Amino acid sequence: MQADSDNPDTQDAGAADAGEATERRLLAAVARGDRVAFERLYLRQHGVLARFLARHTARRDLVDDIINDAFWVVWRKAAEFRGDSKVGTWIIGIAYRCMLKTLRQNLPAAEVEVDLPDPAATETGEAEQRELRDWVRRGLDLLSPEQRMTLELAYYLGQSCEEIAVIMNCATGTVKARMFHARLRLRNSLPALGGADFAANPAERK
Amino acid sequence: MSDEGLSHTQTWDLIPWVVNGTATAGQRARVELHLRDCADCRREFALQQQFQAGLREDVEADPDPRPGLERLFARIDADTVPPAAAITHRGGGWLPWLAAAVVVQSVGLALLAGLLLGRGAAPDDYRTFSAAPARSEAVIRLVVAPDTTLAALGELLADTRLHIVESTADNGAFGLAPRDATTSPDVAATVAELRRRPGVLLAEPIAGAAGKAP
Ligand SMILES: [Zn+2]
Repeated sequence: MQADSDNPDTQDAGAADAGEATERRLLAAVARGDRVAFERLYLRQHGVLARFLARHTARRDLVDDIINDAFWVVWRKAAEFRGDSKVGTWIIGIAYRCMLKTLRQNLPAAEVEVDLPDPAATETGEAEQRELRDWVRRGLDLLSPEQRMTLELAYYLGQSCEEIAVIMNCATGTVKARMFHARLRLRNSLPALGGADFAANPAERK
Repeated sequence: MSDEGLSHTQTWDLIPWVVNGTATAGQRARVELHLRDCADCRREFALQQQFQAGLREDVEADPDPRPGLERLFARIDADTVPPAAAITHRGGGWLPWLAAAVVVQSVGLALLAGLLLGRGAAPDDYRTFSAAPARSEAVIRLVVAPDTTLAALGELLADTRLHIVESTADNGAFGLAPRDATTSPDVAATVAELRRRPGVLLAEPIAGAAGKAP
């Protein structure tokens, strides 16, 4: 799903560098107590964090609590950022720890099964997209929490192996192992999921 | 396994990071080379691409970040402690931390106006306002929509019992203070009230320097 420009990688990298530079300046300002910078950083990160966290709990109030806790830490600990990861990765790591804590305190019994209402199916291909989504959801359900988190950090938030190791506070070898086993489970479960079509190499499709 | 090409296992391990775009250019090139001749790994690559696409497809509408931000600022305000050597300027009524906090108005407001009215026009020029004359009595920073009428602004200020003590040259941003300077204003509540009003782009307590040594 790349943009149809000639060289998306290079362009993405340039934009990402500029974004990272901006976020580092913002975070440095936050460390000096600058609320405008804090607000900007919050607004930059909020959407993706909220959507990411919503994948792990259906409770909107818990998502809000986790983000509140995470940015509370960001506000107080901004000066401790050492720059050995991206700002976004640092914040995701904080949010991840806040999420573990919050979800531990709120028993799964309180969790509602996530069943998001489908947005109105207006476009062709919507059914296919829905099928793909369902397949992904059922696949994720088969994974351990760590495997699932690893996959989501990689595919949803686009974090690298090294960044995931920072976020989940583990060795890169552990990230690789979790990714490996997650994919194995996904692959082995494919026929049962009835989603084999998605896995088929287009060249081999009839 | 040769020196040049990757094995299945090596390729398999690299596939997610090529798919999500975080592999190095070298890794990517080597994986692509292997994929050319290996249907198994091509299938796995396609599967992971599909999986990523499905994962990213599964999104809710963006929730409104503002209520959460408001709650967070309230939490920060509640936690803000007076600096050890807070200046008690102006005798009556001002909370010490507010007095210490009114650091940077003219610079800050001008910058703020530029930022907000320019709507991200030059985010990379962003700088913080840290050192500037401390002489304002403003306790709330307000930015209203450019189309706000003077009458609407007046009404807003009357309802919240505030008046303008500073503004930027273009009137894009204002520093507000309570009309009755002898009372300690409930800044958080007033800010919350302002934020509920239509046309208010930004309302926040001025406390940027609170908690720091003067
Ligand atoms: Zn292979």
